[in-house]
Amino acid sequence: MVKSIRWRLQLWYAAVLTGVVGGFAVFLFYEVQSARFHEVDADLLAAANYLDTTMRPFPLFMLAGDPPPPQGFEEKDRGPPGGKKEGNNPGGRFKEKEKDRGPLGGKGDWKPRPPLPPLERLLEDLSPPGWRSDDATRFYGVCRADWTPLKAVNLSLTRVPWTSPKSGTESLLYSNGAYRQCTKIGPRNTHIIVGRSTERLTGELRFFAWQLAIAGCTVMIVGLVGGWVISSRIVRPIARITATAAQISLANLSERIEAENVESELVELATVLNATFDRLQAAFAQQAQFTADASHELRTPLTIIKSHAELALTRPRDAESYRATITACHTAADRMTSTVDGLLILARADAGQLQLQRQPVQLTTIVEETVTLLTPVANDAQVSITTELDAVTITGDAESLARVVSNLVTNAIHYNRVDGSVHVRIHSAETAIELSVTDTGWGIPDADRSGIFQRFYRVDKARTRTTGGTGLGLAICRSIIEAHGGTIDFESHPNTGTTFRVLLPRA
Amino acid sequence: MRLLVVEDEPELLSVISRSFREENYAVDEARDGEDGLYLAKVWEYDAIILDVMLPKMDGWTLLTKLRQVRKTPVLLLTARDSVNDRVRGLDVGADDYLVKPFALAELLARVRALIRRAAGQPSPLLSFGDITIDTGAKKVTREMQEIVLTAREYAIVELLIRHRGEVVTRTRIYEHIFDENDDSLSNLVEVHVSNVRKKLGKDFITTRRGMGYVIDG
Repeated sequence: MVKSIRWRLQLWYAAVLTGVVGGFAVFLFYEVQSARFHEVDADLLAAANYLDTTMRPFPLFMLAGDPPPPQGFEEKDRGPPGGKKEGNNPGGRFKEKEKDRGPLGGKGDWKPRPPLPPLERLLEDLSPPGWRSDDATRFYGVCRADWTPLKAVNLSLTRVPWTSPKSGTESLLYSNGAYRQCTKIGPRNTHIIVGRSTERLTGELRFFAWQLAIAGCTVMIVGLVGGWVISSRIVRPIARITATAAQISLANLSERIEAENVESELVELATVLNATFDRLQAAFAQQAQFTADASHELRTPLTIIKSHAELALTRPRDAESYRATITACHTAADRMTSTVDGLLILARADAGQLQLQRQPVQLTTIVEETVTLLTPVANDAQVSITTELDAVTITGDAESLARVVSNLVTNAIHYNRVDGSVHVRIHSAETAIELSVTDTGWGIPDADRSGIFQRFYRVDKARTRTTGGTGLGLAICRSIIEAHGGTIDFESHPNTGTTFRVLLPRA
Repeated sequence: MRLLVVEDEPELLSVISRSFREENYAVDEARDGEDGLYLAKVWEYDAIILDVMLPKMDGWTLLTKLRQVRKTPVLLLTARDSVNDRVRGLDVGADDYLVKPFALAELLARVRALIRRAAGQPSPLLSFGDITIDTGAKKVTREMQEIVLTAREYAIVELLIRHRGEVVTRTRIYEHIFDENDDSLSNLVEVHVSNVRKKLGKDFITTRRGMGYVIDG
């Protein structure tokens, strides 16, 4: 499964999708959460500040149990938030009390400051705007520095410990269980405490989280299904190519992938595969041709042997007749031997197992010996052999090279005209050694040029039969020369002759 | 019976021809496709043994061209033994197919069968009155007693029996019992017919003057 492209695509896709959707959901959740908590915190701070500001004008706070303030202190020790102006008194709720005190305060022009309402009264009335004492989700209160309460609304002081803001900061916001609360240092080291239940908020946030999760899962499922569909669309042409390729078998090598109907990315693949199939088909065709030729070459002498023997055995015959039969069988066996030998050399060369004894050899000597050996054959065919030999030594296998020379010269003799000539030449050039064999025959027709080095290829079947060649000579020559790191080619002119040219690397 | 063997391998050609000659067939030889086609068109052979891989014109081409003019039975002889090759050979008009290397005895038997089938007589035993001819063993018997005929006499009897009721011309008999290399005189046919009459009875072969001979069915 992991090896399947489709599954890999799908897994990658799922991973990326999970990352993106999950990341987005988490980000969104925390943003919303922090925004909501900011709102709560702002509310709490506003309430705490309000309480602080409201209490600030009361000097010494006149808290129960506090020593009475010294005379005249009241004037100097007005609260910092600009209590000098009456208007600064929060709200207008002291007006009424001012009137009540009217007869006590009036002395000449000095209009005494209206006395502040009693602190208890203040504390009793004290509540942040919008906060109601019957709202159980909110609590607030004022404590002394030792956390003993002066006022507490919904505030259970068992919810300790309270935490003071650090020195140097005005207030501290923190969560305590299901509550979000704010402590603030108020006037005279009092502690102002405000707090709200976050239960509803967390409930809402939880619901929001569920919504996000459900939406995320929906997106994931839709995305994965979409991804699966897309990946199958991607994989489908590959499956089509696979199906076509699977149909191509030995019996059906001509099938091809339709490159026109394939997506452009896969055209290259289809083209490469088609080219491979072309080569495969050509190779099989060549192989089939070779097998047919080889079986023909081997079966013909076998048939001769068998038929001769059978005929001889049908009835008693004289000695001369038996001798003729045995001679024919012997000739046929010789022919089979040379074909089998040739095939064996080629098979070894194909397998890269041509056993060459690489040692310095006198190519000139090899040519001279071969020419001497073949001179009687040439004389029979009324062909003369001339040589033009540079003395050269190369590294190679003497026997194989002798076979090459012999094959080339034999061909030159057999495919020559009467009174023709064969010219063998060794030329020692700077980079390579050139061995050429030129005949004065009728040349190789254009149509046959490409096939001349193929096994069992015959330019003229009738003539090859009478000359008794195996049809393997040039193929063997090429194999041997290539094993020596050389090349062989030819140049042919109709009715003038052919030159086979072997280039061998210098020793 | 006269045969044509088309084979480019000289040794094989000679050994096949010799085997058939020893079986008293008249055998013509051709070494390439063009020669073979020429002979096959000119003469009326009883069967042709044809190699497929031939110089100048291959066996398939030869057969295709021959079938336009003659329906002579043809046995293809080849080293190619793939199903495709055999199918191709039979489809272009071959009557039988033999893969090299073959047994000579099988080749001879197949050619006999070909000739029988071509004459519309699938059985190797032919009978005429109380005379029975075994074309496999090439023997003629009358009332269980073998009558010894010479090869030529037997060939004439077999030819006439195969074409029972038809008048067979002297030329045709001549062509069937002698091959190209025979240099005999035409009246030898009459000598052989007369010898057959001596052995098998005067009325066995009827002479149609100016036309030829017939064995009446």
